[in-house]
Amino acid sequence: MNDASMTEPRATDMRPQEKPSVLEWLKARPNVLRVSAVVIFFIWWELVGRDVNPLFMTYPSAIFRAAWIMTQSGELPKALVASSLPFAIGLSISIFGGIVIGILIGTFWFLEYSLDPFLNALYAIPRVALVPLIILWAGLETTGKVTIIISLAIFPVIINTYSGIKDVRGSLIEIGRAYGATEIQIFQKIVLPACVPYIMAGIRLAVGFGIIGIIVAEFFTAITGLGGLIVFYSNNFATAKLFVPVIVIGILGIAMTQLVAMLEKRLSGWRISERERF
Amino acid sequence: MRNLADNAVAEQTGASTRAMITVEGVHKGFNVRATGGDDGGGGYMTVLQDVSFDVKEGELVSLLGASGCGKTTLLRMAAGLIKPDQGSISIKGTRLQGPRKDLCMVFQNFSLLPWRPVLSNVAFPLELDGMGKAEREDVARHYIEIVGLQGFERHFPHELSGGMQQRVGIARALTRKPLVLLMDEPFGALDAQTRETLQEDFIKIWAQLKTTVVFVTHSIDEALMLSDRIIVFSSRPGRIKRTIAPPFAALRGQEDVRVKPEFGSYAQEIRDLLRVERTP
Ligand SMILES: Nc1ncnc2c1ncn2[C@@H]1O[C@H](COP(=O)(O)OP(=O)(O)O)[C@@H](O)[C@H]1O
Ligand SMILES: [Mg+2]
Repeated sequence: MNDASMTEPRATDMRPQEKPSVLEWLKARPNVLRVSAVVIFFIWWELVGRDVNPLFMTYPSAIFRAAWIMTQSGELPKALVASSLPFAIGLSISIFGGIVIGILIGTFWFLEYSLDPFLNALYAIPRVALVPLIILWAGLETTGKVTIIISLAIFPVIINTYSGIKDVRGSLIEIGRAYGATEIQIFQKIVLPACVPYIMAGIRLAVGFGIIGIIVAEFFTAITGLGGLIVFYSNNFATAKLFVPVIVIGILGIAMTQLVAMLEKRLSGWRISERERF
Repeated sequence: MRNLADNAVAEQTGASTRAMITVEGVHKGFNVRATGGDDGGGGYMTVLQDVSFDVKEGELVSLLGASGCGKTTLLRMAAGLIKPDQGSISIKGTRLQGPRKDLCMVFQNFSLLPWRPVLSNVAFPLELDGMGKAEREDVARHYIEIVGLQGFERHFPHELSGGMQQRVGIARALTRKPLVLLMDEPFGALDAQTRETLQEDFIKIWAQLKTTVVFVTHSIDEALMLSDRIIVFSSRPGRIKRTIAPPFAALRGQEDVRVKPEFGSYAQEIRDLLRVERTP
């Protein structure tokens, strides 16, 4: 009897494994499919793109050539710097200012109630609608770009920090009180660390909005930066060159988001794994 | 029943006779919303009525009562987290005005800081006291060893079982060498096996330290096994029904007192006390 039950399941195990083995193998290695899909897409694009009027469409090898030329001439690096500096300044101010404002309105009811209407109104208006006004006030240069970025990127940080402070569990604060923590200690050692996952989520959104912000700003000013290049080459119907800044922005966007996601995972890992447990 | 109650007077513990905690004529109630509260109606709800007792130095006293009778409320008052509406609570004769650093709490739901590993959770009270990192971590390691968690210093709370989390909670409360340990149903959230192990281990730890303990529970067996004295509360509004001194205190940690014949009659007496309330 023992023998029979030992051999039988082995026989039945074999059969269902044979058919889907290729699919199983692929499912276990998602990167194989991802890379293949991208490679196939580029080959298809290259083949089809060559037959379309170059005024409207282009293809990978032409984009690559354009990128090479634009890098050699210094045009692309210059645009990258012109965009990066205001982006870095705008994003830093959004993150820092957003956290400070979020903490203040989350902590002091007086500020919360008095700033509430303004925040809600600003949040409700599509901020892009304010861009011409901001340019009128702050100009086309770095100040204008930074202001536009802040107008878009600061809100997710403010709102997430604020809800983080409001959501801190009463039982966590009670630990501090029971052990005789001062108000400042409760803030430093309990409220703030409890908010970190919220703040990180806010920063992740701010990066995305910041990228939109810098490009929108440069569309309007249309002089410098990656956004400027896009407008310039689109006006000149140089489609291959137009794609270069678009792809650079895409790559930068992915890299920044990945970086923040990694940081987020490190800093709020406790929360993710706590959630998985229950 | 009279006899058993009278036993309370015959002290058979090593506890000194000096009062550590004195609770005098405490009343407490809450304003509840009309929609909240379990009796539907709003207004003022009395939770504790005329509660007076004291706990002697080195004594382990249980507060036993049905869920909702105000045990946690009483413990939070003893911790200085909330104030009684009437009456007073004193520690060694000094009236309690707010949280004191020498009264340390162990919470029912463990209440660890989820972003901190075990070591810095245990060192947390000393960190609040401004003790240096190296020094407080040494103290923390000592208590982590006492509760049997050595090797888990770098683990996060979510990586530990409930029983281990509560060991962390106990170690944290011990780091300050508190005058009084306030424990709110510390083993109530654990499964039966874990609960027994923790009860046994806690008794061993307590035998070494001999701090005064106020132990809230709704388990009759737990109260009988652990306590020098049991204060039995009526259901809400909580009033003291009787104080009982079970004769098992001397055997704590040495044998299973639950098999003793008297254990059953004590348990029955308490059960009756709690039941009288339920059928008015
Ligand atoms: N802060 C509060 N506000 C309103 N009601 C409360 C508050 N704290 C406790 N209560 C009520 O007081 C009663 C006793 O609560 P509690 O002390 O937690 O009981 P126990 O710990 O004995 O189960 C409960 O009905 C509870 O809802
Ligand atoms: Mg309770």
